[in-house]
Amino acid sequence: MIAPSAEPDTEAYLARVRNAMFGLSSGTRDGIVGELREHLRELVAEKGSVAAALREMEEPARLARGFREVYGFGPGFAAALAAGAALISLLTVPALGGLSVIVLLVLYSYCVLVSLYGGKKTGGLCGLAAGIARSAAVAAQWYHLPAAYAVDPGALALFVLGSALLPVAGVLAGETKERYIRGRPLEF
Amino acid sequence: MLNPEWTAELKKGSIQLCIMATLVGGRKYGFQMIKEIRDLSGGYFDLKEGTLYPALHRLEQRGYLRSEWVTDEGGTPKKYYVLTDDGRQALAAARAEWDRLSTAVRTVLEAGK
Repeated sequence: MIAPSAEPDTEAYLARVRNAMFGLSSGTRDGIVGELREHLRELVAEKGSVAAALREMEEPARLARGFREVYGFGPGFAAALAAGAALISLLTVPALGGLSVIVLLVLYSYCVLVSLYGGKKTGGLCGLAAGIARSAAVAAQWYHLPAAYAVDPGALALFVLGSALLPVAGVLAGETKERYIRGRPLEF
Repeated sequence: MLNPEWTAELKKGSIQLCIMATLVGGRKYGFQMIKEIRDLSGGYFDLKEGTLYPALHRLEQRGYLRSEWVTDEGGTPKKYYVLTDDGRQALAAARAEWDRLSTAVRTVLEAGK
């Protein structure tokens, strides 16, 4: 429930809902806000005042969560997150030693969190971008400085596995959440 | 007093059916559906907007509903939802399943009295 406000304002409430839906495409957010505006208009007429209507409405973050579960992140936001994953992955090349392992763990966490928050498609995209970027970075290093790399088959296999599992982790986290949502009771 | 989570579990399986059933008679918008479901159920189902609207959008994504913005006589645009052919088929199948389920549960409950 929304706490009573001294100057209740439906547009301010709708702006909070819109902001809470960050990551969804602009068109989707506009459509949802337009639909909620009409809902509020009817609710104000039924309750007799804007304040009473707003007290009936749910918290913007809760509303946004429901729509994010339906739509996930929009393409622009997903692409930006994937670019972020690709950049982070550049710090996971084996030449950086122990740091690369730590950053790789951070990268996995990043892909999992994105997937949980924005859906398995975005999580998978981040993992794919990161896997490709770190592979390309190592290939480029090897091409320019072949002497710096003693190719150990075991280490190479581990590197390939680490890269290939990034998109898998990204997809699995979101898929697990979707299965949880399908089994979760609706809230009334 | 029944555990609220248990009540929610019981309601969960039926709410999608109720939402789609309200559209059998023709197109409706969200607020209208909330009121209709509340009135028809004697207040048992009092859907919050955070439940109804995401559910409507999900049903539309699955192809069971389609939506259209219509401006009413007062000049106010409203988003109406309509059952698609796939939605009607899904509703018919769900209704039949619901009948089997409720009959089976009632039979078991009666036997347990």
